[in-house]
This record gives sequence, C-alpha cells and structure tokens, in this order.
Amino acid sequence: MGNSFYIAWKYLQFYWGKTLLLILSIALVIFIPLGLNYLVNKGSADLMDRAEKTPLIVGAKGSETELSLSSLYFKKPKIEPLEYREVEKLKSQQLGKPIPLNLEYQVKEQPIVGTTSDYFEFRELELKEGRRMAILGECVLGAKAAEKLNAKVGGSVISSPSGAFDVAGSFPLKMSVVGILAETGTPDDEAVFTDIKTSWVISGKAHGHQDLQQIENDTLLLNKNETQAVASPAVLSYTEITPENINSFHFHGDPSDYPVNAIIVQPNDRKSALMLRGRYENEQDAAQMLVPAEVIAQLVDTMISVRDLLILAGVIIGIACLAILAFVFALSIKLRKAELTTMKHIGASRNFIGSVLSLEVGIVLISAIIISGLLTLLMGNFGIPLIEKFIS
Amino acid sequence: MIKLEEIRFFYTRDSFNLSIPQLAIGRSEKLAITGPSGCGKTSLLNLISGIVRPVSGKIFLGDIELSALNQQDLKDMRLMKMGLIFQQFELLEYLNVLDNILLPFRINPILQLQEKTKERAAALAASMGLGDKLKRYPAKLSQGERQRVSVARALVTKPEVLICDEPTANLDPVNRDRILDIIDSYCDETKTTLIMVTHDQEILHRFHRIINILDYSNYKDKNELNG
Repeated sequence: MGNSFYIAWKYLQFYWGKTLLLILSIALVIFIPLGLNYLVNKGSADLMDRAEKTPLIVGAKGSETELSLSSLYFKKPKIEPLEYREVEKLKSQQLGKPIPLNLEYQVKEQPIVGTTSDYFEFRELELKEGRRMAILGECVLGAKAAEKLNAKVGGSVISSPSGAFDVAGSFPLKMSVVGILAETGTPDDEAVFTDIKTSWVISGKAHGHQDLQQIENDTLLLNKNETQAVASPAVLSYTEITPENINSFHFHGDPSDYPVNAIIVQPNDRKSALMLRGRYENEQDAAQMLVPAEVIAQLVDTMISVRDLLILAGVIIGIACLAILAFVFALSIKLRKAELTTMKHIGASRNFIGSVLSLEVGIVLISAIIISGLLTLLMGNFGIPLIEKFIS
Repeated sequence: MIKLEEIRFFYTRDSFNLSIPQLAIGRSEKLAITGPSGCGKTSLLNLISGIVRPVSGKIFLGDIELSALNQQDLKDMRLMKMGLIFQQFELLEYLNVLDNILLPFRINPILQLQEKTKERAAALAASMGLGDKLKRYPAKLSQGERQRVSVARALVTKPEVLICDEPTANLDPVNRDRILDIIDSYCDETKTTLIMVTHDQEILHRFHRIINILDYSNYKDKNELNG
C-alpha cells in the first residue's frame, strides 16, 4: 500500500496541472447539488427561525413578502409607511405590545432602526458594552455595524442623506454611540438602533435651532412679534443633539401623523393574537397584519421548489461529467500502456498496478470531496448573507 | 546456469516460429544474440525472462524450471534474479532518477526498500556519472543519461542474469561505449550472466559467444527479413 500510494502520489504530483483540473472539475460536480442543498436548507432555516420569533407584523397594505422581509431584515421598505397613531391604537387595545420600526435611513450601508427599547427585550439583545439609548440623538450599534463603521462607545456616527438630490429631505444627523450589542448572528448585528423620535429628527419632522426670540439679526426672521417669531430658511438647524441644544428640539405637527414603516406586535396570548388578526381583516383598513412565519414559509416553499429543480439539473450534468471523466481516465490508461507494461515486465503484479491506478482515482476523488465540502462550508458562511440579500 | 530444452514458440496470428532444441548459457557467460529484425531475438529474451511462456519445452534457471512457475512466482523470480534493460529505456517520466532506479523495490513487496538500498542506488548512480542528477526527471536527461538510469535500475537488485534488448541502439558511439563499459565491468566484478540482443557488429568482440537467431527461427522465406 505504501509503495503503490507513493507511485500514485508521484504521478499526480508530476502532472499537477491536469490533476488539479480534474479535482476541481469533480469538486464542482459534487459541490453544485450539495452546496445548493446546504445553502437552501440553511438559508430556509435561518429565515424561518427569525420569522418564527416574530409573532405579528403590522404595516401598510401591499406586498406581504416585502413587509415581512423589510421588518425582519431592515431593508428599506418599498411600501408606504403607516402613521404613528396605528401604534397608539394598538397600545390602547391592550392586546399586545407594539414595537414601532422606522427603517427609512442609513449610516453608510448600515440601516438605522428607529424603535423603542422594547425591541431589545423582544429580541433578547444584550449589550457588549455601554448602555441603551436614553435621550434624543443617541444610538446603539449592532456588533457588525460597530465594526464596519469603526465606531466605539463615546464616539459618533452620522446618518447618510437619503439621496444625492434630496436637498429638501433628511439632513445628516450626528448621533452619539452609547452602546454596542453583543453579536447574535442575525440582521440585528448590522443595524444602528436609535429611538424612533431620533429617526423623526433625521427625517426633518423634528429639529432644533436657535431661540428665535433671542435672534437679533432680522434677516433670519420672516416675522416677529411678542408671542410668535417665524424663522426664515437662513436659520440653520442643529446637526448634532447636545446637552446644550437638546431643549431646542421640537416637533412640528401631530406626532401621531409621523411615519412608521412597520410595527412588530407581541400579543399577550394566543387569544389576543387571534383577536388582533380579526381586527385587521377589514378590507377598508389601510393597514394589514400578518404572521411572518406564514409569509416566509411560502417563500421557503418556492426556494425549495427551485432548489429541487436545480439539484436535478446538477445531478444530470454531474452524471454526464462523471461519464466523461471515466472516459478520460480509460483513455489515459491506454496512453500509459508502455509505462504499465514496464512495471509489469520488471516484476509488478496485476494487483499492484491496479492498486496504483485505484489510488490515483481515490486521491483525486477524496481531494474533490474535501474541496467540495470546504466550498459548502464557505457557502454556509458567505452564501447565507447573499441569499438574504438576493431575497430582499 | 540457463538451459532451454526443446523450446517451441510462435504467435498464433503470425508465421513466426521459434524452435530451440537446446541452448545452455553458463554462469558469468556473455552471450550476444544477433539476427535480422523481426526474427525472434526479443521473443527469446522474453522467454528467458519469463515474460512469455513457450508453447512447449522447458526453461531452467539453475535448478528452477521457469516454465513450471505460476505468473506471480515468475515475476518474483524475475525481480530477484534478473535485471532487464530495454532499448527505449522505459523510464517512468514522473519519477526522478533516484526513484526510477529504486522502482524494482517499490513495485513488489518481495524486495524491501531500506535506507541502505537508497544509499546503494545513489552510489550506483554516482558511479555512472549521475550523482548530481538524482532529483532530475527523465525529460531533463540526455539519451545517454536516460540509458544509464535504466542500467542502474537493472543493476540495483544485484541480478544473477542481466538481459538487455538492444540497449545501445539509440545511442551515439561515445555513450554506447560508456554504457557497455559499465555493463561489462559490472558483469566481470559480480560474475553476472549477460544476455544481450544487438545489431551492432562493432560491439560483438565484447562477448564470449554470439548466436544468430536465424539458426533457431523457422521462416517460410528468411530472405524477406532485413537487418
């Protein structure tokens, strides 16, 4: 065995280019169905896991899949937001705990999640360092968000404008980082959590500026009397909320009208969940309530159907490839006839020559299986975020 | 040492017919086999080395009747007692010089590859001017060097009989003489029997005895043969 392995190994080593090509070809043939199966299974399990941990979601009527995925994975929603009064309505019904999510803005590539501290309890998120946000302008970073933004507790992050041409829209707000969450392996790691009111400051619904009554420069005021002063556009809003200017921040209009992209609802019990769902059955209602697990299960079913088709195609292609490889191997034995005859003439037995050839095939196959296994593991690490990105 | 008795050999699809009533080759004898191409020189070597079996008759190596041995015993016997040198060198392209020389020890468990065997192989290679080329692959060697590796591979097992099939046919005179000097001196020193097929009239003076295979092969028209 030792000597036949040595000769087989030397052959493969000498013709390393051909050997590598052969190994990679076989590895791919094995990997495509194996990796796809693993990817879809793992992806489905991850998707279902997060969906099942989220009992109910309320959002504007529209695509259920869109609403579920944007609420679970913090993707910018493509459906209209609800008004905050929907949260107040749910609170007043006392059938569960509503957790608002405002998902319109980002810090670079990281989503800003405007919510309440109830979200941390709901997802059982623990702080690695620092504390939760307490006042306007503070934020808590997910573990990966902190890494990607290179931010630490005591530092700050700045919200990105919603678009290059959105001069009238959100303006950058510098937020103080007061806490960093422990890693969870979920989309929460990627998020910048802030109070929903801070997200409204980013959207321009609330802002802070100099006390207009104190302004002496008339060019900054459109109108001023003893009870009212109207600022001109020349008055600059604060881009950072500090202890000195926090009292100047104020909301315009009724906060009940302010936007909320989705509301996670934690029903008190099963009966409350049923009652809540019943109340959102009205077709006239602008809002819908859905069970994310049901929506994601449909999505997973579609993924599994596609996977099965692709695996079938992969297996057929794989069989064809293996047949070609077997043919190539048979041809190579023919080409090596002189070499094998020499070994036979010198004194090698038929078994020895057979074991050399078998070991060559074995080494190639085992290497291909190992590589396809490694590729599958890599797929597990890098493919799942890809599949999530693709789905969303 | 080697005795052939009433040997008959032919290929079923050929008119070729080799018939050797009696041939004895003594220990340490140097025998040259000559004759035109295709008349059965290589077949005779293959019969003596057990690569092919006679249709009838007996072949003895010492007291062992080769024609009575089974295939595996024949191979084991060949490996232990015979060294083969081929016209085309027959080196394995993917093994370096040292591994090619040690090939007989790797292909059959009957020979144990030990550290001293490796040292012996390296010394043998060095004595043939290949000492600095042990790690080279056959493709990087000249024709003469390749044949020297082939000779070293045949000698490394310390054979009792050295069987050579036109080992110098592809070499220039300088390399030819160098190879033959190596083979000659080895056989002289170790009393090894040498059986060599050759076309080369210039080297026949090196042998104790020369036989023409035409005296043994039976063709319908011997004039058809060339060589």
